[in-house]
Amino acid sequence: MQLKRFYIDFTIAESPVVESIRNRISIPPTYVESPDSIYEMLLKSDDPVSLGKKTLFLTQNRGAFIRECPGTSHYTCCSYKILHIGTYCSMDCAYCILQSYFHPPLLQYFVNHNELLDSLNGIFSRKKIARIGTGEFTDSLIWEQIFPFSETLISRFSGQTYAVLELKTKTIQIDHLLDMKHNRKTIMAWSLNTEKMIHETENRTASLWARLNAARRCEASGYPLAFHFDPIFIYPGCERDYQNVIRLLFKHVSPENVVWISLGTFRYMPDLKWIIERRFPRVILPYGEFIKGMDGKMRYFKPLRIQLYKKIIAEIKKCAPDVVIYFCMEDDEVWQKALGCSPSEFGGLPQILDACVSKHCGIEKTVLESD
Amino acid sequence: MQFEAKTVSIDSIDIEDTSFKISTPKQIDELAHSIERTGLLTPPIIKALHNGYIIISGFHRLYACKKIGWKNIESRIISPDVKDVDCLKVAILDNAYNRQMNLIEKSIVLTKLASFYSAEDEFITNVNEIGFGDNLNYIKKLLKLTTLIPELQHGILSGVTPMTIALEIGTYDKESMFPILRLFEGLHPTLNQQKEILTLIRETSKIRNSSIENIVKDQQILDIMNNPDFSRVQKIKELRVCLHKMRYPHISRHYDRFNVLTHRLKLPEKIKLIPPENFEDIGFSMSMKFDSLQEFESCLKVLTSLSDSLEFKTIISNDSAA
Ligand code: SF4
Repeated sequence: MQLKRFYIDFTIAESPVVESIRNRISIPPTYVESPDSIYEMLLKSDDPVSLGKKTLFLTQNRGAFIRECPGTSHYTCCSYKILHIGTYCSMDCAYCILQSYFHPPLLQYFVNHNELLDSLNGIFSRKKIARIGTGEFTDSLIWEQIFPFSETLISRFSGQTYAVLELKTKTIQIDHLLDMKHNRKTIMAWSLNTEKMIHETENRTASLWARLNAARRCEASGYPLAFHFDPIFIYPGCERDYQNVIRLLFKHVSPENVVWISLGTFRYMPDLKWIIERRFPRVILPYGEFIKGMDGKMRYFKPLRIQLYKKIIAEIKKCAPDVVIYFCMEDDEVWQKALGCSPSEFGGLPQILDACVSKHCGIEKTVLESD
Repeated sequence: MQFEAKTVSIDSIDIEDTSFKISTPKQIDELAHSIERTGLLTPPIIKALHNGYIIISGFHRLYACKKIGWKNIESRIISPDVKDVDCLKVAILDNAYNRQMNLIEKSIVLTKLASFYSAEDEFITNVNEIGFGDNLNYIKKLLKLTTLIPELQHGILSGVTPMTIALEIGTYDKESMFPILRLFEGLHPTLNQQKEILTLIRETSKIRNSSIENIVKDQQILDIMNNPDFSRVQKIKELRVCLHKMRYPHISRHYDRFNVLTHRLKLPEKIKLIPPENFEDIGFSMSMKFDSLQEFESCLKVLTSLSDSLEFKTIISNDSAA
């Protein structure tokens, strides 16, 4: 994290987590009573989205720590639960929806970990299968630089039987996690893209090769793995490029340890377009053949999505015939045409994914009752 | 502020010094005639320097008086110790009081005023004081107008080019500006049409990694623009269709294919096949109009026969033509 400004919520100034983080950050903190002055400072700047990536605010989460994945109407959602550890990201992907999701965006890290852990205990005690991830409003592992909280999470998950944690990242900050006892209740997951897209749009992220190497090392430490091709971009030569990534992926990891692979083409709220145009004028990704989807988001024209999905799926099937593939936010037509089945044939997407974690993460079938 | 009313020799006024000039150039013949007929109703404001005067407000009045051969002019004189920023404010208020300023003049005002304030807050407070409001976004846009090439400024003044469009074109390289300006001058599209056309051209140029100039000079566009059988309105319509096809080639092909196949179904006027919105939603729909039982039955017959049609099956499979 290359921080320029560092704020601490006055009410948690004495917290041991804050103390530990303060020792790792070289710039002096400013104590604030509310985030309003930070928002004001960001909004006044020429580029709040960029400054937000360099502004850290340690605070407490006053809302729910565990939330349902927002999903969107009309498209099939996986019913994932989000563990809300913080917001925004220090990496800088041109397409990142978080740029327009928060007004203004800001690196917020929630330090009331005891409350977070209480919420988790609530989930564990329900004795129902749950898939929980931290990589929805942020990258799961960027925070490790300031506080290695994933260690605590991995260890908590390892001691129960009903829930799995998915740590989704574009970093390679895994060294400290390799020797941990995880009991296969943590899935280490990477977002993957073609080398061209990583180079052109995923600023400050780890290279494809580094991500795959990190995945290989996690596999060697016994972690189950997952991969997300999301967002997938359509550009001349994309089919060949994505096929290459898939071949490379299975040169690094074995299919038996891959819990799932998700696919989702680029989609965004219309507001994001002008942010991308302003911040990344050379990037051409907002100029695909998009239409307004039924949820108001811009998506590639459906026949084009299906065509690319088919090619990617064929390659995955070639390399790893038994790996479960699912779509993130697609409708039944796409499922049928690209994958040849619909989630409803298996009881729904959540049930498909629950069965995956049961198989790979040692969750007993009797508790397969995800909600 | 004190003004001294005095008649001074026109030659003692430095009309070349435009430090406080706000107005855009205009014909002075009519003004000169009017002054000749009725005299000078509002004397210009000038500032005394140690060796003469400079104009604060009333440049055109002075040019006109000089043109009709006056040697002396009645003026309101500001003392030499009045600060430049205050002189500028006098010029602004005097102009604003006498007439409605155009956008370029407003831009000149802001540019000149900005040179006196380094802090944004202070600048905005002063802009607000002279009645320009405090909408920073709008002020920033106005400020850019004086940096535009004269052709674009002229477009704004003549009403052909709306400010937002001029500002966008102003970001293009020179080679691209002129073909676009010529395109709009010939077609006079509405503001929304201009926005749509510009967006399509700009995005197509990005996708093709080609200059805007090359897109505007594409043979298909030239053919539309040079077609003597097309009216202005037809040209605009054809241009938009053509640009849309360039920007969204696969989507356009999909719609074209749908139209061709639908046409082949030879549906009667009263039956319409409607595709899902953007081909995204699931489900085609059909509408039929009838006003008798007989007509209803004949519509039903057509609908039933469709299930044997290869074209119909192809349409509803909604597979890619890409
Ligand atoms: S890594 Fe994820 S959260 Fe971070 S900038 Fe990229 S897309 Fe956004």
